[in-house]
Amino acid sequence: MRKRIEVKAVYDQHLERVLANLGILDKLTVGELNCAVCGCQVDLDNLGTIFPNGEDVGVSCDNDRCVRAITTHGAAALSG
Amino acid sequence: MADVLIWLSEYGAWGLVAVAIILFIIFYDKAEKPVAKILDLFYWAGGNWRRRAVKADIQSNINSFSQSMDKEVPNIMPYNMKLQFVSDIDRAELLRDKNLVLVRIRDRRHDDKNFVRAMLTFCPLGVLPASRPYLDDLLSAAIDFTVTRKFLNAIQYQGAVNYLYKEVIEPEIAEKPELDKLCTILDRFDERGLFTKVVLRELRDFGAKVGSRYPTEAHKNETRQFLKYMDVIATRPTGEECETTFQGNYISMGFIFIGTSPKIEKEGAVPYLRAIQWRKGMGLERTYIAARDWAIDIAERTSYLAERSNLAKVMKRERYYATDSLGQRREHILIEMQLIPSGPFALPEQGRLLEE
Repeated sequence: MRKRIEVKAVYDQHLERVLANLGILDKLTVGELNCAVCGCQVDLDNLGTIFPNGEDVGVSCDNDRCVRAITTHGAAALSG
Repeated sequence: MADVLIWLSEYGAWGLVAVAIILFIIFYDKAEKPVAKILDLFYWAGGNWRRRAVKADIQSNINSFSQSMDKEVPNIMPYNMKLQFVSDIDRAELLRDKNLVLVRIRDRRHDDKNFVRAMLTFCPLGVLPASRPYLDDLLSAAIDFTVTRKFLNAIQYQGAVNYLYKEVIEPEIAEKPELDKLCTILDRFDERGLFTKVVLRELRDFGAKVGSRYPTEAHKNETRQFLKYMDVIATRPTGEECETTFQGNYISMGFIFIGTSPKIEKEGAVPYLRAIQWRKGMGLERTYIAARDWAIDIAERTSYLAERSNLAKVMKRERYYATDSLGQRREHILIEMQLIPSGPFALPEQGRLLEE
């Protein structure tokens, strides 16, 4: 059997539960969070990725450019 | 065999179940697709089944494509992908792993987006993993886009191809014209049948040779030069002379094109054998013999004679259909030959008659 690389994802069914566990569901619902790449407002509808950003939880919007920036370079993309 | 049958008769149905489980574990990679199809039948049965079906569909298609690429050129996509849906993760767990990224996967209605996103997330980890640190960001992105496009074409998912172009590639190339050029070049290689067989193959070896050295601009520069060289090869009009060898610090290869009919009528395979000798004398590591249509037989003969004369060893021989520089689809052959270095006190080979 070939070695497997894990790609972690959140399926829509569990999205709210995961966001509540991470303590950002309320912020996201009221539109207090911004995309870490482009700065646009992120809500439940346009959430693309969730990742650790320093000592906080970072999010990106659903724009493919922002998602790729995060999945390719992680939070390091934000300083570049 | 008789022992197995006795064992099965003793343990009955449980024996069959055990055999099925063992076979499933051994052939898990192959069983993924049928399992995905079965799960698809239960898509209507509730949220958990839907999640399993979406996961199995994406994972099995990516893994099947990855295995087919790896079969064509070993170790260019050496891993399978495991799409792990996270349902219970707390803040401390997320913050502990600084490289963790959770990608949102949506319901099946958004499968075009799901497939593109999963593949683009997998590519930087799964395509040429050893070479990645030594490629510049633009080339890495162009490789990811080309491999993702190949994947979506392989599974014939036109909606996702459209999504990839419209939502991912076009916005990025609008910002980075250099990326546009690279994507066009890689697409041309793919059309000519050179992308996987030569470009990814050489970049794979490049990563293996550089090993664990600290990535420098010189490494990135060598891969850029290699792509420029390959583009000259891919766009070369038939019969036109061009530089056919590339000798960098880590990439060392060349092409021999067979197809000049008066040359073949007059001298047979001799000029091509001389070209192999010449490349060997230059210290090149590898040469590809390329030919199409009627010249395929001469290419085969050249490789046979080169191997007999101990000039080079045939590593791989592949016939395929690809589009030439005039846009015509023709049969091609590409023979990869590892040039055999001469011993330190070997007699000079130049001038020796190699053709029988």
